[in-house]
Amino acid sequence: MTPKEIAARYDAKVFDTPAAALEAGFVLTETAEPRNVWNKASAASAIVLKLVDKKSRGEAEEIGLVVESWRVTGCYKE
Amino acid sequence: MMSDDTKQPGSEEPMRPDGSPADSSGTPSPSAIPPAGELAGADAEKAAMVEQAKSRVAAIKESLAAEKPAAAPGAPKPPVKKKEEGPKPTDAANHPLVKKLKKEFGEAIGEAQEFIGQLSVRVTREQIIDVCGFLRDDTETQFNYLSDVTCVHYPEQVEAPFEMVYNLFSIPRNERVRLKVKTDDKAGVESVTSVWPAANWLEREVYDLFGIPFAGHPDLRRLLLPADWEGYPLRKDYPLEFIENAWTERHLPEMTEVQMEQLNQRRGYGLEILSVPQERMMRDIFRGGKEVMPKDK
Repeated sequence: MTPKEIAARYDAKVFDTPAAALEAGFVLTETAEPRNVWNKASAASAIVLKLVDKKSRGEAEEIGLVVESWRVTGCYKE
Repeated sequence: MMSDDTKQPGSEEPMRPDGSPADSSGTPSPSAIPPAGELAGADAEKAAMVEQAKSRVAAIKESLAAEKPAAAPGAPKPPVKKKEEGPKPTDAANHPLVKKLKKEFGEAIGEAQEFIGQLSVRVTREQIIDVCGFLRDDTETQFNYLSDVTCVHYPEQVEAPFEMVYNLFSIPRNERVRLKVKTDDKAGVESVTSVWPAANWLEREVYDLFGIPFAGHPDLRRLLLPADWEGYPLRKDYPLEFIENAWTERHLPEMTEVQMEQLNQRRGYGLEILSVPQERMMRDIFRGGKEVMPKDK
């Protein structure tokens, strides 16, 4: 699965840049800079699962993922 | 020593099959070249043979074209045949071993499936020791060899996101069975080291990589990773790639500003694809023979 597909699976919004996420009122979390597409998917999955956990605990209202060409960043809205 | 093939000056000249002399280089002597009229005749014969061959090839091509109906331009291609679906797991409730286990343990035995001759039986967490002991000791089963213990993480199954998998083998009966136990990282499962001592390191590995605690394990500590490592790398929420974490911060030197600048420049030019400086630094440390792992106490 690609990072975008992973985001769609867990109802996470997808942003192209961190600035776009910040503009939409999201708070950025961790960033990963993987070397290849498999590692990128894994990094996206790891980030999104942590955000899903955060959402299930009620600490986030909405979650999102910033997908750049060589970087994946998590984000959430309180 | 000279070879026998070497001709000495004044020795006999090599002869052609037709008896005409030829020099050692293989070029025909002037007397062996046929007259111009004979050459022209040979060329004409060759040309006739080439023409015959060409006409034969043309005839074959025509016959092949006549056999195949010409596809109309733009016509849809014939559908590609789908591959036959592979085998699927089947219910194994009627398997003799499953019946035997259900008779012995009743509700503790859950669903059983068979897939390409491999039997998998789900067992409740509380009964795993009893089931394993029974499978080892019963004369009709004799699963005396614990082949492997592993685990699978299903993060979407919130109540019990981990599934322990025990692969058993019966050496005397040459049979295999796979036991599956659902659990979570708080409750864990009971250790089967009392049934098969070989489970010791296998369970330590599962603890190390998935974080499943094993109650009653004689020496439960990490097996592959450093003792002070944080996190469990085979969980789905753990990224594949090397990341900076508390352990690397404690044990590996930090990147200098110059190194960071170099990294950013290389990334800007798309050069930093195959490795990152942190990884190279780790390799250098290992090559240098420095102690980076804490002593295993």
